[in-house]
Amino acid sequence: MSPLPPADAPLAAILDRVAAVVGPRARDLHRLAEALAAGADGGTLAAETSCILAAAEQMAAMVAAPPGMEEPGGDLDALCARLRHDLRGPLVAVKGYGELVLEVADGDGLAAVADDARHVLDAVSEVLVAIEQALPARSRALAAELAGDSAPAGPVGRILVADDSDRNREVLVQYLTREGHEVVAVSDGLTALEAVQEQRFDLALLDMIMPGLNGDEVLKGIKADPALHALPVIMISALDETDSIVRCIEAGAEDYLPKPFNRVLLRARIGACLEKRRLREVELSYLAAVEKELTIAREVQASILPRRFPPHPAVEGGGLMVPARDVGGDFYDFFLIDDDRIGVAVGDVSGKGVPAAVYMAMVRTLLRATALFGLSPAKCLQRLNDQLSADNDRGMFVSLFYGILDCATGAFTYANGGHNRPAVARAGGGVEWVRGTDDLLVGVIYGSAYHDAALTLAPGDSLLLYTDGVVEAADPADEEFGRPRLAEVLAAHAGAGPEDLLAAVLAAVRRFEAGQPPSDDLTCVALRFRGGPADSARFEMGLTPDLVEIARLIPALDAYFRRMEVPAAAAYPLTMAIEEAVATVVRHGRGARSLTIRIERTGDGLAAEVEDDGQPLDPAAADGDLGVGLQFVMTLVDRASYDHDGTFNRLRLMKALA
Amino acid sequence: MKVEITRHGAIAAMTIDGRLSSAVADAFEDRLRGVLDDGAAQVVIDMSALTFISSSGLRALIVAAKRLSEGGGRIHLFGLGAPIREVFEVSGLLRIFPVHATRDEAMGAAD
Repeated sequence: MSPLPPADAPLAAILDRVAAVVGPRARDLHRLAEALAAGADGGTLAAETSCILAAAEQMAAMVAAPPGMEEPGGDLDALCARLRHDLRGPLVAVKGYGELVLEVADGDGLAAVADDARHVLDAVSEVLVAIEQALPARSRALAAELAGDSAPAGPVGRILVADDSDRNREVLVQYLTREGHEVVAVSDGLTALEAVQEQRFDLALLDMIMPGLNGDEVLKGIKADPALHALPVIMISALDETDSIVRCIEAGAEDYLPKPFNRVLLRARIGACLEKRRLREVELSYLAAVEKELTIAREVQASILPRRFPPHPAVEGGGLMVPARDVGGDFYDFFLIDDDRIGVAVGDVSGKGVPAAVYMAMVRTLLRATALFGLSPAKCLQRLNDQLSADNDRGMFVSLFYGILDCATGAFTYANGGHNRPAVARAGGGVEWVRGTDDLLVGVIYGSAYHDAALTLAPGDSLLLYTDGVVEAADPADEEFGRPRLAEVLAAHAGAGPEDLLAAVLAAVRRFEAGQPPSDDLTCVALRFRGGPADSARFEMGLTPDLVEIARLIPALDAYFRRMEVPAAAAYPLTMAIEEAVATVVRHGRGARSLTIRIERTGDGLAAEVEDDGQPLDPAAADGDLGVGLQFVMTLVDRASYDHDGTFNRLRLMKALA
Repeated sequence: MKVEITRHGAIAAMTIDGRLSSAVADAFEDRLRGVLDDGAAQVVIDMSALTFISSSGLRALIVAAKRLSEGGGRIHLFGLGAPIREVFEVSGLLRIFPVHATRDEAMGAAD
């Protein structure tokens, strides 16, 4: 170990120690990660090994220049904890990917890659040990070291001594204090038990025979208390008490010390006990760090899911994923394939933990890459299956449902690779299960065939895709939520919007579980078909008078103009005119509750109509903002007219096409 | 979950009792691997007492089935309750795992 830092410059000294102790190990790790990446270059594990390399590079860079430790006045313990956490971040990534690479390489017979991966994993352990060597543990022992106490040879701690003999107590207190320990001495068992309950100790030395409670009874009391049972206990006994010593060791005592005391033995046994306790603390803090990384992995997993359903006038949708305690492999996705087709997918990767999350990210990326070519769902699953099963001796797979909704017609084409049957909630309240083709889970067998099937959504119908977390949720009596209960929820919410439907499903499942912790991720996607225009050459869209609705209107107009092949020179000003007219209604709503936009082709151009149910407008009296807005609209189109039929205001806009 | 295994020549007969959840899937995978390491060429599994199977449980079965198939062996199932049968049906796994009505039929097919 390098020399301990002086008390007046603790932070700088710690950083120096990190550079000196951790630096060489981090550079070793980086070198080995480079070798691994070079060996796997161009192969199936190229992506994973380059992630490992990136994390190892980050590690080496961090050790050379530790991040954000500029508060010299801060609490030293807190700074060390943060430094420890930051340094471990990349290591967790290297370890997760490294274990994955090792398993795959072993399975695929890539012996050289597997060896390289093993070296990398060994190097991770060495860096972890180096970090613990460089950073003071949060135990009093090392705090005392840092404070610059006359450095003792072994670890020091806070020790309780319980012995009824004044002489023995005196000897022990004197000796242990000189060794650097903090000592509390008591003379009977009951006081000893009270002391360990009230104060924090690193070790207790208990005499076997004491007035009141004997040492073995105090030991039993300590081991029976969940808050205390990790406290190491050393029994003090006369040499002829072998039987009692054995009983105490069996009852959980760490060790024993024979009387009269031998200093060498005393130092060795106390040192060993404290060291064991310190390592246990190190282990616990490492576990806490890993737990924290898992939380981050869960957040990353959730963040790659799409946030918003693609805006489209004919359909609305939403998704929901609630991860269980472990990082799981559920995912969902929705995306526009072209103006009128939306892809929707839900999948559930086998297993849990970091490998499942990594596999899930891969599946989602591959699916998007394949689906955006506009292939049929069955063809997509077929390609995905061939890619995933080609080198898959780990036996990982994904149940995957993928469908394409044609928003103009309501036709829904889908393929089901071993996933739960989705449900269709008809506008009238009936619930149907989407018939499966019983095709195989994706990624199991190369060359498996997948089949397309189709159904039609009528306006007002909803489609719900979900994972096991819904139907396999268990109540305290271990009964499953099941599809019948799901059907009841859907029937009870016929006509509800997707977000309300998702919330209702989640609430019903949680109510059913009655506090049982969920064992699986819970994922759902809901979409409701509003219905497209009867004639695709016409455009019609209803809005509520709210400026945020314009965000929904613009893409729908774009899609319509593209479909109708309207040149930008006409589409752009007409879009602006409609947007301005809508904004005018919203601002000067005159009590309007609804807005409808219609467009159709006429002989020489496009005729648009903005209709609202507010008070009639008097164009002659229109001035100020309102007048300016309308004047602006007029300059964008070729002709404009306004009328009121007793119920609706209609602003008609004509744009000629060259 | 309880697993019992008996050997009948080249056939290993297993009984799974209870829930094959993610929590016990690793242990189950180890048991299956052990059976194959011991040289079983065919596996017959009684699922009449199996009440739940997770995707990790399916994974263990698939990995073992793939390994067995290299030597021409299969995993034969019988006694599937309706919910378990539906899991195998929906996941398309009936293409990989032959399902039999009775133990005798399964043992006969494996022989």
